[in-house]
Amino acid sequence: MTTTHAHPSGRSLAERSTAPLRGARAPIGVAAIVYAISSWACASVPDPARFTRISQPDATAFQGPDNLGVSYFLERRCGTLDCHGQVGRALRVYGRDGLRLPNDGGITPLSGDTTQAEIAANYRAVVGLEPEQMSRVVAGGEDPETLLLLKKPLDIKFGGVQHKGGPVIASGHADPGYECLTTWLAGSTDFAACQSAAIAQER
Amino acid sequence: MNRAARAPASSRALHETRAAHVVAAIGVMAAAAASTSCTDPVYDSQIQALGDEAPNVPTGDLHRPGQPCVLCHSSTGPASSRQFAIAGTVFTTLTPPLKPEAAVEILMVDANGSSPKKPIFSNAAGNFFVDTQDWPELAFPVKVQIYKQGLRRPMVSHISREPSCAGCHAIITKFNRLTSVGPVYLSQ
Repeated sequence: MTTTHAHPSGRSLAERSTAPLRGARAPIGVAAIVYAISSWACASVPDPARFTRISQPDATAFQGPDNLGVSYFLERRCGTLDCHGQVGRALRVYGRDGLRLPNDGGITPLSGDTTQAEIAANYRAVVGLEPEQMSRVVAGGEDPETLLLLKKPLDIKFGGVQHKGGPVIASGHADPGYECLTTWLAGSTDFAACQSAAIAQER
Repeated sequence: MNRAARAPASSRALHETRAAHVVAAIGVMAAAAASTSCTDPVYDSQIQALGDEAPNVPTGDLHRPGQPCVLCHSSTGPASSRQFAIAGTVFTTLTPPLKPEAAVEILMVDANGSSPKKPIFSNAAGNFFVDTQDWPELAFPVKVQIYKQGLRRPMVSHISREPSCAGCHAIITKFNRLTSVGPVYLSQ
């Protein structure tokens, strides 16, 4: 024989346990509906003609004549396997002596020159670091030292910031690496400076 | 009457729910604290991946050739009693079978032009190491050459910051063929 104990309220256990929740649901539901209506009402119709212009530095100059442009400098100076030649890096640098882009040609570190695809990947990594700020520098004439691309390698005593790899552009504004990057951003790449900066690491 | 009689039941249920939440939260916090308070799991897994000591090779200057020495021989490693500034192994060839190349001099100069206080040579296992007290002012990047009996081989690039040569000079496998330049070697 089963005995049922009635609650003084006359309601079942399920009804009683959900009662506080039912009370809380009503205001939440109303708030959600109000929010949905208000957000819908405020949204404008998308303008298909509207876009944000992003200006980036020259990709051809990044490669440079005979592949001896900005990319060459970055490969030599920054792209070692224990630094930016690692897949986990935001500024990931591929190159002949370091990390290689996945390929079907059997190209491995120290085998074959840096490929077009690797230079293109290096370019994307550089311009993708801070695309909007780089656009302001390239098109708007803002100070290139606002970019991490310059702040990181620049020695702290010349206005740089903490860089785990230390001051790569150690001699500040007189460093050919600094000249290479700033002239590229300004649209008049000093290729001699880029090569000089890269070769300095080959001593 | 109904309301007065109902209040204790719902209040008790609420208290029980709160207590359960508190117990659950304490449990989660305890689990989180236990999992984070010991060590770095990535670092631990790297050390574990090195495997056991080779049989019949005692722990010491000749052990574990070709492995990333400073992973353990650092201030945070399990071999912190002997810490290295830079260490590695020289082999006779780039590809297996790998044999040690002994008596190779390792010539290094850092960003400030300084070098280890004493000459560094590879031993019978090909291992070489710079104790931290022998190069306390080391500042990366470091340029390296290896030299033996008139044969000199400069490293193509510089060391940016990795103190274990095997960090980049790992034995090439199908998994690291894009990220390793292979072991340090000196062919006669």
